[in-house]
Amino acid sequence: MRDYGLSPRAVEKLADLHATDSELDAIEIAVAELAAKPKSGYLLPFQYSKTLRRYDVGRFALIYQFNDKRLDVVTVVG
Amino acid sequence: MAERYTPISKARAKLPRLSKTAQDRQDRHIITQKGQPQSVLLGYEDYKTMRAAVELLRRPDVIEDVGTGLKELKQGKRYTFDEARKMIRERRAQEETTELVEKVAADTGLDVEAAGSVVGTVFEMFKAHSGKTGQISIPGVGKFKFIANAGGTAKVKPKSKAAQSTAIAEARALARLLSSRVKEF
Repeated sequence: MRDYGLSPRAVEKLADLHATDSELDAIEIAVAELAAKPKSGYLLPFQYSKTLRRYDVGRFALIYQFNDKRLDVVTVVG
Repeated sequence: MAERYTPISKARAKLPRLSKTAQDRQDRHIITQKGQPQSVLLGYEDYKTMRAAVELLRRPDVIEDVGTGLKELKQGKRYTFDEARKMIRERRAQEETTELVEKVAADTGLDVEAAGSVVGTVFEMFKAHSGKTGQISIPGVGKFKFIANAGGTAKVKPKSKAAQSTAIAEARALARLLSSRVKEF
């Protein structure tokens, strides 16, 4: 199981988007599941990273990246 | 993943197979008519991925956020969800307090600094004396009697009778918000 977390920008975006406690809980559950099975969601063809993907949770689109050890939410789009 | 040109006459006959390879191998079949590309057959997941990417690429702010987020993570800056929850709650509380201060200032005629002082002091009193009774003295504003009870309601009475009813109404609204906030501490 990979460790998981969020970038400071992702936290800032969640605050900007007024994420509620229950929405944060739902996002954490989704991220924990992604950490176990990271290839869910859509691959984003950004040049920075070949493992950048998008996964939608409710009104949020999570942009995440992963490797063998961890999965991090890079940013969040409302 | 391959890009293949298929005349429409052949595509019609081979559609189930083309659709399957589009789904299984992410092949993209460019359908031609009279030698000219006319349409593209691609897998549903492939299509959704392209749509998701295009949607995001239309927003320069997202591109910038992705770059910033990746840079932060590369520098080892990351938070757990518990840390994120705490930070988001603190920011939410700060924004609510700012709104409350502005409302108190607008409703009472106090300047924002004095209203901020009232809200801040009452909040501190709530934290320190939750469930107790106290006296608050705010320079430039006056003395307030502070009464809190287990139900989370409170009264803050200024000495001036003229301002009393407004102050009580404000204090009740303030107390409701503060008592919910105090539970977080």
